[in-house]
Amino acid sequence: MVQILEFAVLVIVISASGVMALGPLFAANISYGLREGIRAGVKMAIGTQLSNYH
Amino acid sequence: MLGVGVFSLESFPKFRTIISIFGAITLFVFAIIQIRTTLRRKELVVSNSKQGPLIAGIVLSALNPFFIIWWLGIGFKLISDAMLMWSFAGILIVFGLHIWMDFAWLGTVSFLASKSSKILSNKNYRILMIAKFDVSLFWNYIFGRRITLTTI
Repeated sequence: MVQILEFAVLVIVISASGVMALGPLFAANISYGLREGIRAGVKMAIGTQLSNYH
Repeated sequence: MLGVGVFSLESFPKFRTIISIFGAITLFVFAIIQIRTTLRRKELVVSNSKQGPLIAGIVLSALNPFFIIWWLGIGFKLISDAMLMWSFAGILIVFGLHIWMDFAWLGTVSFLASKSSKILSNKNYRILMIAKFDVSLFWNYIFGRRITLTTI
């Protein structure tokens, strides 16, 4: 249990380096977010998953 | 696909050491690039696009070399570690832990953008990125420590 919790923290913290990257996705997210709110972010996240795991 | 790659490469000697070093270097380089970009950037660029957010998410992720290198470097190392502990279930664990962060981050940013541009101002974003840079360096140290332990 401790092992999986430790690994979960590791993955979450390290994943932040990829997820929170400042780039075109971030800029587009703000742009869409200004118009559509949180739904835009959720749609973009779905799009990201589709491209990552297709 | 990365999971299958890890599984087939496990038989190579020193595979774990090499992927640990590569992952640590990638993480460190990303942290440096990101902090430099954050400090140089004068203001957030907001552009209007005719495409919907779903299409934008697909295109901007699939064609972004940053994400591809991230998965080949850092992601590969995480999947490798997870598979060592939980075999193929490790792949699902890594993806499960990673996927929700995309939703949380992109959802939060778009929500804040819609509510107020003052909340996620350039200054606040820079503070956030510098804090994340410190955390990245810490995990870089952890990666390095693991390499030392596995090679001794």
